[in-house]
Amino acid sequence: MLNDENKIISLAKQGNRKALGELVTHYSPKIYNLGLRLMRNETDAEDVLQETFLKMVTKIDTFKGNSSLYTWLYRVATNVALEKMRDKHHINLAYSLDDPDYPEMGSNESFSIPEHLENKLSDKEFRKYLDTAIKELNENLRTIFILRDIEGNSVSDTAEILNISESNVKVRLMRARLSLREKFAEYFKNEGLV
Amino acid sequence: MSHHKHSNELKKLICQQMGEDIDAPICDEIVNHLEDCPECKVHFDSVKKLVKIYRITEEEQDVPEDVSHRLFKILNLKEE
Repeated sequence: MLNDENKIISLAKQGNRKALGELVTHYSPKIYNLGLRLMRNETDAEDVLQETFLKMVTKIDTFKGNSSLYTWLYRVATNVALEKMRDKHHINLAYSLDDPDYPEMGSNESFSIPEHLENKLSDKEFRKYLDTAIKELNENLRTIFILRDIEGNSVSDTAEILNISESNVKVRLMRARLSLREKFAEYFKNEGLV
Repeated sequence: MSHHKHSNELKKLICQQMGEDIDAPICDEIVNHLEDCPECKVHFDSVKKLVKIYRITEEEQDVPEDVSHRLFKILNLKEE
């Protein structure tokens, strides 16, 4: 949070350009990184960044201060990212993930990270595999995994951001984790590591 | 670590993960189940490990200069 943030927000609401600039400077790294995590590429992350702050500049007068400005921006950015995913891949977030035929559901084959791999691979190498696995996840599942497990949002906040029920968040998260784990196992097998 | 302490920490972690209250009956049920089911324990541990790796290797990136210039330009604001 910025020093004197309330004062800066109040000035920004009155259209003060310097105050708006200060808010953009302060919050743009966080929003850019959120965009990168959700969109997985720089171009789309930049679009999320621009659209989020365009909304902030034009709508800050509607910010009531019930949550922090960061939470408000975070929600705007997440919704912008989801909108982009829908446009790009025609995904439907209302698709029922409770449907047993949901395409991302694989087997429940057990997988663990073998101990010898923990010694053999550095965290950065693990990260490389994990990044690839996350990138290949269906956007529905990736968004849930990132918002809940990576960003650390609560179940209720994630539900509110995505406009779905808490139980739906839990179901989707479980499926995201299962799907991710299976992809991870597949890479290790393909690389001959297990 | 004592068994009791381990169970409590596991329970806390599971409740956080599931977004349930610490005293929710389902948390007790899952902790008890994990202690008796190696397959689910392996699943739980591997997910925990994946998330941990992701978080410790996550490097916050600065906004590239050109991206920042374009942002301020489109917003019609002056960069500090």
